[in-house]
Amino acid sequence: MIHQKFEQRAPSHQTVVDIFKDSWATNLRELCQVEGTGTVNLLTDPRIGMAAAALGKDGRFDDYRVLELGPLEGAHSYQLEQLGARSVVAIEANTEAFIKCLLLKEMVGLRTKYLCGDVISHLQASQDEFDLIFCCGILYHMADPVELIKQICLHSNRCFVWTHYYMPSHLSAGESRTPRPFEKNGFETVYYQRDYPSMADPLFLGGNQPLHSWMTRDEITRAFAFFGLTEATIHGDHTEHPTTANFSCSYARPV
Amino acid sequence: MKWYFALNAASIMTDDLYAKCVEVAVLSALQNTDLDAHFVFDGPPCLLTDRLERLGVTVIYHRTSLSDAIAAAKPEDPSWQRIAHGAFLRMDLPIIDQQSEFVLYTDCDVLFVKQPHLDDIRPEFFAVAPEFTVGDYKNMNSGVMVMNLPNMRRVGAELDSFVRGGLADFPAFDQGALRLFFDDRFEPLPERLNWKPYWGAKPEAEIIHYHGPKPPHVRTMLQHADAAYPQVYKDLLERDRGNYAALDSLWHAYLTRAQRF
Repeated sequence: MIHQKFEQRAPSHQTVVDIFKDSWATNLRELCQVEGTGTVNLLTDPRIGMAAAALGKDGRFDDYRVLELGPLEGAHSYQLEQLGARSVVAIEANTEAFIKCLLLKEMVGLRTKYLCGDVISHLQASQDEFDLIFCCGILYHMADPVELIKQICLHSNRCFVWTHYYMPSHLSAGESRTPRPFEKNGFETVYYQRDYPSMADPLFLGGNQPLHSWMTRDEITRAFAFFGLTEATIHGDHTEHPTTANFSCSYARPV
Repeated sequence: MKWYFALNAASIMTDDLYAKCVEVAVLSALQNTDLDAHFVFDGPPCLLTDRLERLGVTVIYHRTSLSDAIAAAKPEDPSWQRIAHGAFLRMDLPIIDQQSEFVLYTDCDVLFVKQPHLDDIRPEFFAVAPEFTVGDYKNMNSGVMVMNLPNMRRVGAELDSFVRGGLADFPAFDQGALRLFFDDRFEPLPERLNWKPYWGAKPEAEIIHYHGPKPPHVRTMLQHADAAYPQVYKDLLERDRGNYAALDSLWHAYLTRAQRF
């Protein structure tokens, strides 16, 4: 939340990041020469390089039109631009995260176009096409992840995904999810659902619906294949994650 | 719900008009609905079927059960035979699908603009909307139908016999046959599910049906006043030229995207 309404100091990057003092996730110390931001090194996140190696050209995104889903605080947008993306459109539903993206954009001069709103609603109404959709840390927040996968497949031939997935042996102690059979456009699967414990928490970084649905890793890949992105390259599968399993995967439509 | 649409290979051999219509229909259905798409195709696997299967469409290869009667009905008119082989495919849905109770059938020249609300439509045989005139349910259009397959199957033999008896004489192929056979037994389908562009802009419309001129014809007529098309096409265009123009860019945007799959 906004730290204080008026600023007395001379303008600087520090005054900018202090608007959301103590609530940044991303470590901006080196890039912006500031103190007191987060601890997560998203600006050097290796997942962008994985995506570029698998789905880019010569390890870069030169001339790519990229759609980024859930940019959080803009660190991945920065990397996408650094790797040559011609344009980046990024959609963020968390209003505080959206404003943080704009702050980073202002501090480092990003060209990314940030949109504030629901990704699925946007894609359903859009005729835009992208060379890559970057979908990092958002699929497991969806109430209807198959709808998002379908919309991704209708708007791009390439998608990089990092997501948690359902694996019963890796749920936290006391955590449970309700299985629910699900069907859309002839694709049948099972959603493992639960309500978010507290969307009102100021530090909450989940989705924009009170309920979220998880799928198994193989079902996520099967959904991408069903809607046309049949080539899957798994980059990492981390079942040792302290609370939940997660994996990175590149999906592409055969040419 | 399952959504069926149908075509025969002859319809896509001479030009790509209907292949384009199919691609737009499918992409718009995927983008805007939860429908489970099924393509009934009288022909061999081809580029179109490959592309549709890559989009998750189930392709069913099937020739109309009336094929022999069609071949005998008007041997001197190959154009009629070509259209008849495609048009009558919908009447075989009760044979093709033995599992479903209610299904949606549409012609290929449709655009799904919203999730169709079909849950309350449970006809005894089928529900259909008017053809040319809003509210005129007597003169129905078979281009969009919600069908009760078990009940259609029950009258299947009688219907088959009726159609074979007058095949060459029915106006508008299956539509004429269905009007005559079922008479007052078909039920009203909300017009939002078979909305014609010449009826004007309709925010509640869920399925736009290009009954009459197809979108490529419309684009040409919009751009060239002297385009050589049937007068009925020009008359329909003039009923609401503005609505046709408004839909033109949307339909072609879908086509551009669909052709990249």
